[in-house]
Amino acid sequence: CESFLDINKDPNYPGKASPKLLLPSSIAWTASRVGSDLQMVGGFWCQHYTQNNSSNQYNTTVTYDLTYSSYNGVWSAAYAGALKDLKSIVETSEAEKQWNYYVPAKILMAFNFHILADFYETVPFNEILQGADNMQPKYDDGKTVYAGIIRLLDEAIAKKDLALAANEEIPIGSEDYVYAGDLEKWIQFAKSLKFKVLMRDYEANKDALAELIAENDFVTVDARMNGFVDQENKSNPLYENDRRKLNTTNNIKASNTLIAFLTANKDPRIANFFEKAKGIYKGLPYGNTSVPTATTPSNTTSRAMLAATDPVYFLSVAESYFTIAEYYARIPNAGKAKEFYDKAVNEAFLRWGYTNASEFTKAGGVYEFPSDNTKMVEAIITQKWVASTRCQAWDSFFDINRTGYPQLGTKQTTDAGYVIGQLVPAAHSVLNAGELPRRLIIPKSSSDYNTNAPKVIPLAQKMWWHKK
Amino acid sequence: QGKQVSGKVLSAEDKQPIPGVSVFVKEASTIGTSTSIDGQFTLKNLPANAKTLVFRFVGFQTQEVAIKGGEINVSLIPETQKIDEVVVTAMGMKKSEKTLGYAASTVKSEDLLAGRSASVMSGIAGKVAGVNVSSSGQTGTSQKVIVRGYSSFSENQPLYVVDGVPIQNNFSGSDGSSDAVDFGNQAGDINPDDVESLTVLKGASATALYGSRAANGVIMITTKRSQQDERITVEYNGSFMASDVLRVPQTQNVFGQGWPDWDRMENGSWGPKLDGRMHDWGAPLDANGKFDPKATGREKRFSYVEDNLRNFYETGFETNNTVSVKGGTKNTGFVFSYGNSYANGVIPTDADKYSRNTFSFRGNTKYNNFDINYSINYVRKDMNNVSAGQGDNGATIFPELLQHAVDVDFQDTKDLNNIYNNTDNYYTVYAENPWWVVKNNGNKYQDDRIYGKAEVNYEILKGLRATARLGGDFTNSRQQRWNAIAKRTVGSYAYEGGKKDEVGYYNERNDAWDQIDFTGLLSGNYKLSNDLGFDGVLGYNFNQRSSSFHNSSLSGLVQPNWYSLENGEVMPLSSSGISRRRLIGAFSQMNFDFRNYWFLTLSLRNDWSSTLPKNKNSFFYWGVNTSAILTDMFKSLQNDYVNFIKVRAAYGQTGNDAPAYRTYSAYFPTQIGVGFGDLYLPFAGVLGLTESNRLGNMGLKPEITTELEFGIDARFFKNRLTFDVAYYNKQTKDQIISATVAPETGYTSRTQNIGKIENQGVEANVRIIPVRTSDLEWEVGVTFAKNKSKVKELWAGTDRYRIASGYEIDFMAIVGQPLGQFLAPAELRVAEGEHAGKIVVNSAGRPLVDAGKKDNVGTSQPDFTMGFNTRLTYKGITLSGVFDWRKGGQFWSYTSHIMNFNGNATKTTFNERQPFVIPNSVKQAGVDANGKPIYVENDIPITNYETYNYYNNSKNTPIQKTFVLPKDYLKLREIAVSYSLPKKFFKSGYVKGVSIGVVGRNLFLWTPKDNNFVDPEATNYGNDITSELGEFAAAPTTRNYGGSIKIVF
Repeated sequence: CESFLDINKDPNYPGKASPKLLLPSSIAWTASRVGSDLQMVGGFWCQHYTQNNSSNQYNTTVTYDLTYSSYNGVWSAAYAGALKDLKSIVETSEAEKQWNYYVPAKILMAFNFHILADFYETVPFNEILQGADNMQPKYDDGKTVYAGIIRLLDEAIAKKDLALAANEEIPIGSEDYVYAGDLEKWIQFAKSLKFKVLMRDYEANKDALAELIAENDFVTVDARMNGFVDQENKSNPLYENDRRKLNTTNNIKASNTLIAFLTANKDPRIANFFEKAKGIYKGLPYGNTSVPTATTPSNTTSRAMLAATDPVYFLSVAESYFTIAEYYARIPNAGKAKEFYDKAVNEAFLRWGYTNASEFTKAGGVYEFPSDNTKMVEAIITQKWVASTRCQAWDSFFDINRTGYPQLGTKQTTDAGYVIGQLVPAAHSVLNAGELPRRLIIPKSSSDYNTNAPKVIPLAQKMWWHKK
Repeated sequence: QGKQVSGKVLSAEDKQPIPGVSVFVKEASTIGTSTSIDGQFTLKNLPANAKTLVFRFVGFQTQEVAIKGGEINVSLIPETQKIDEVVVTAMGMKKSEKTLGYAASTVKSEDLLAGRSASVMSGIAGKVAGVNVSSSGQTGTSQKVIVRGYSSFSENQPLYVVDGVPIQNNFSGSDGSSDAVDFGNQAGDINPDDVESLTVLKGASATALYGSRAANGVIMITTKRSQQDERITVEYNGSFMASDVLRVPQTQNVFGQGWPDWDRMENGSWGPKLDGRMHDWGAPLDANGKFDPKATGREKRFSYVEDNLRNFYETGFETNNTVSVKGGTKNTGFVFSYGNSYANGVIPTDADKYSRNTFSFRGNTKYNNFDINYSINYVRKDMNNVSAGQGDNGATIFPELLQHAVDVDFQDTKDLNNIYNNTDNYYTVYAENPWWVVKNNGNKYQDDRIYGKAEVNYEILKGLRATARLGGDFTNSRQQRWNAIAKRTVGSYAYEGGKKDEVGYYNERNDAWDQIDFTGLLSGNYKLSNDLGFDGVLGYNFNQRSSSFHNSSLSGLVQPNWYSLENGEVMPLSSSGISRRRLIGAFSQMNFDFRNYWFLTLSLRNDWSSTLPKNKNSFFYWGVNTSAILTDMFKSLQNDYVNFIKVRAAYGQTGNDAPAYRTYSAYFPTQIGVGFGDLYLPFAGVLGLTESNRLGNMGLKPEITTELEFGIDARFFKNRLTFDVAYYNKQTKDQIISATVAPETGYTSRTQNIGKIENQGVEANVRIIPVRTSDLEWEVGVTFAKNKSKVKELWAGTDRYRIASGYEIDFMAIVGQPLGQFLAPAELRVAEGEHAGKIVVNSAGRPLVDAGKKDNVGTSQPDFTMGFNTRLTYKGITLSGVFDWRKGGQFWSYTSHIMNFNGNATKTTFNERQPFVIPNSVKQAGVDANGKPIYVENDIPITNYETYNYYNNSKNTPIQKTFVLPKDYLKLREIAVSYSLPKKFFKSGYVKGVSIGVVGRNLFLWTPKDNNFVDPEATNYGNDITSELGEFAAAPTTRNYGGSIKIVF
């Protein structure tokens, strides 16, 4: 009767999947949290946005009141979602010489670890994804993970020719939601990401950075997940979560911090970042969860503008230019720094269809590159901060940690002496005065089940590469 | 001058005369007398038709004697000998109760039916020690039946067996915190009027013959049958009951709408004190009905609305009607019944409705050596129900009822034709008008089910019998959910307030469940010697369960009020699947009896299950039990006071095999949850597959329950005091669960055999008859059950497993603790120094949360449960009542959560909402030279303006622990009075008997004062262990009262 009882293989689903089917899945997994939770955490923590006063959804985030229960989905989407499927692709593509799948898979792995390392610092890296063979993977420190990211990217870059050849035979097509099978572009993405990661420790990586600069093979097309449509379950994940599915669409509001900056500089992108309320752009003070609704009804303040079709950015051309500008600023090479700064701002304007960036960056313009060499990095990162709105807000959070820009002031935007472009102290911050959140807390989905997980690291504790 | 008879009545036991025996003429029951002190009686002037005398005395079996003339001397047999009742045990085998070595509690038809519930299982609530029965809503919703505590992390449902054949018990609908809708479990399909008796087999020894399916107890249901040659009788049973909401949350009556200032748009009661003055409220509309912020709204008094929630509900009703025809011919006995149960619940309109039609035909034919039993049942169910919890694709009613200002009368928002009450202008933009929700959003269910059996018994030789029994159970069901479109007009009050459009939603699901069960038995009994008897059985069982489903949903409807999968601009989302499992078992049972006072039973079973890994799918179960009737063994023990003592011991093993398809991993179309929404591939026409986050396991074993049980069954004072006590120790190991694993392994769960749970407990069933005369009998029964569970092991690397959660309350299994612990966010406390242990507050004076710790704030386990039953019989009148008491344990309540949040909970008026400082707390005043925080006494008050933030879980995370409430309750489950009309009314004519009754169910509920929110039994988390988490805006439970009538033709 053994065969009579041998009916336990799920007849509804396949037991195997090819890289062609796994690639779109792993891109979607990667975009799922980067484009929702992390985009939002970044948007709040770099004060693009704040919580609306008549609703409560993200109160604990804007007041930095997070615990190990917060944002557990980030961890599972990365490890059990993206990285596992990517590992499958790598294994199959190595065995079957499908190098054209191997390359994007390695790069996406590196990107996922970049996000994890920059949000958590210490994360499992070397012993992961072994299923029942290792249920307690060790955590690796930030430096180890960074070295690993570089290794992953180098492995991808090294297979460029083989991948191009493989792609001649059976090309990747629309299953690549990022570059539709254009492997040259993936290699550019790899190099830009490598450059970005090396910049975390400029002093130590000068040579490697110079080598990449010399190759000059950075992204020319944004690395982003495309293909979202205005349809349930098929939209930009932040839009889907915050606008389509929450019981109120009135949660993410303009923070005065960014509104003040955009207004002061008459930046046209304000129309792409925020909705008008009663005909004007009006924000709320960042992190103040007690603004009375009776005097400030929610229809009088601007919502974040989000669209169902917004792509999820992994690495943009503007960002790449800003990073190169920062590289030159650190050398310092003011001329090159200005060149890339201008290109970066131009790209950031172009993203929203504005071709007049030069009016802002020209001599005398509000965004003119500073002649004072000590102000170069601040100018670059400040523009990067604006550019990251509705795009890569999480990256701006990384930059605040890394460079200290925008600076945290002591005044609210309405206070006399407030410096436009500075972050304000969150009125209801649970951190000590002068502190900012520096990380996410390692989720209990790991710490409760992995005995190697470290004890809770305070939210305000800086990472090894952070500006002290 | 009629006949005269006289005589004497003696006790058959001691040959002593019995005084007070009622003696009457059967044909003319008004003619009678009772015996004198020396047992004598005389009846004179007997009518001509007097042919039989009836002798009746409590504690003795009633006897009928033909009148022949002259002396009639009668020996009455004490009822002690009726102890030898026949009970139905595993595989449908009938056994004498006194021989059993384990606890088997039987509830008879009259007790099951006393409360006139449409559900068989609610008829045993409070009546069987160790069996916890609770229901969570209107008629037809699911019944939770848990035998001797939870022992599995997933599957704790008992096996239901009707006339020897297992039936399916699928739950229809969905549970959880969103869009939970309860269409009942299939055990509720049985018409209680068809049931003769119900026996609960609790322990592993009793159920060992069911092997892999018996770890959670077995409910054996025996239906009514008819004998061959029985006269045809027709019986009608009817009841009509009204139903009301049992418990609505209590709201504070001091403060009115606002947050914290008066705000016409708010749906909470954080506003000013209610002053009773006339004031403006609701949407400000101009003369043309257009929103104008400068206009005023309606006018009403700013005062508390009494009974606002209760008055939202309506009085529902429930009717149960059954007609049965029973009778026999020379070889055949048959019963046919038709039952109809119809209810319209307490939610206004037809939104909650239940209709069940059952047709049952059961027969038995004896012919030569053949004894054939057969039955066929058809059940048709139609049900409407509202979604509980919150709504993912449109509003659900209960949250909208709770998120409401206490001064706004629901009666004022009822008329949907009133411009102020439509979806553009409802007074709050943060909730939908509940009247609109109830009218427009709903759920519907229907199913058709056929189940039955065919059984052939053949007597091969005297004492040797072969049985073949085939059972089948087939159900097809269809569920629909619809949520209406509500587009806010641009510029309207709702639009300007940021209220989201409802895009409309339709979902349709079809399920089919089939079960085929075949059992072959060879049974025999032999007298091995004068002292030693033996009977045994050899058996084979085949069981196959299959299911299939197809589920489609469409979000974003085009044409309003047209609910169809074709009403969209995009394709509906669809999924479908099949599942099939097989189980083969071989079993044997051997019973020995020695001199009819010592009994020993051995049960063996081997199972082969398709859901376990190939080559490792064979498992052996066994059980042994023994009982000794001490009062028969040592006759000297027996006297007038001690009638019967039996001691028993049992040991057994049963199991629970794996769900289907858990041995291998599979690849699924990628569907990613992103918090509140999802990402579903395909995108841009490209599909993706992802490996399941649940890791398969080729080493799965069944869960094994090993149980040891001891018991005493004793009867005293001519059976006026009986008690039955059992102690059990149940060890369940290798629970099959999707064990949580750290995501860095590549998976979030792994199907695993993990853990060990111990349940030990005591059950007692005491019955006392304080008063017993010829006319009056009063009986009191008490059931007591105390179950202590303990999680003894989980798996390497962890001591905890999360079973369920609500917001940040986790419902856990933790090693060393009873199963089901509530963990809640903890306040940050000072670790060391002079302030050690004090709460640290933030700049607003509210407690900070500890980022890496949760406090254990209670368990779902009760300290004990008790049931009190009483029955008073006076002539034809019977009064009965059942109380159910639960002491101890907790549950999480979203109702409490949301009512704290919006200022409706009574405790939010603490300190009149004036400023207060958190007692025993500190605030941080910078850091010392080592970077360590410096703490000083907290002096930051929570201002009256910000009181609302203190009760808001997102601004005071640790407050969530106060939403875990005590689960204690005392319930008046049933109270019933029935009256049988004297037989003399029916001397001639077709009617043979009539009885009428008045019935109430759940009339009264008491809970501790911390729970003035909900009935602690109400849940929308299904009917298994996750339901112990609590409730998330669950449907209210109801109280029912009405009348019943029974007519026999």
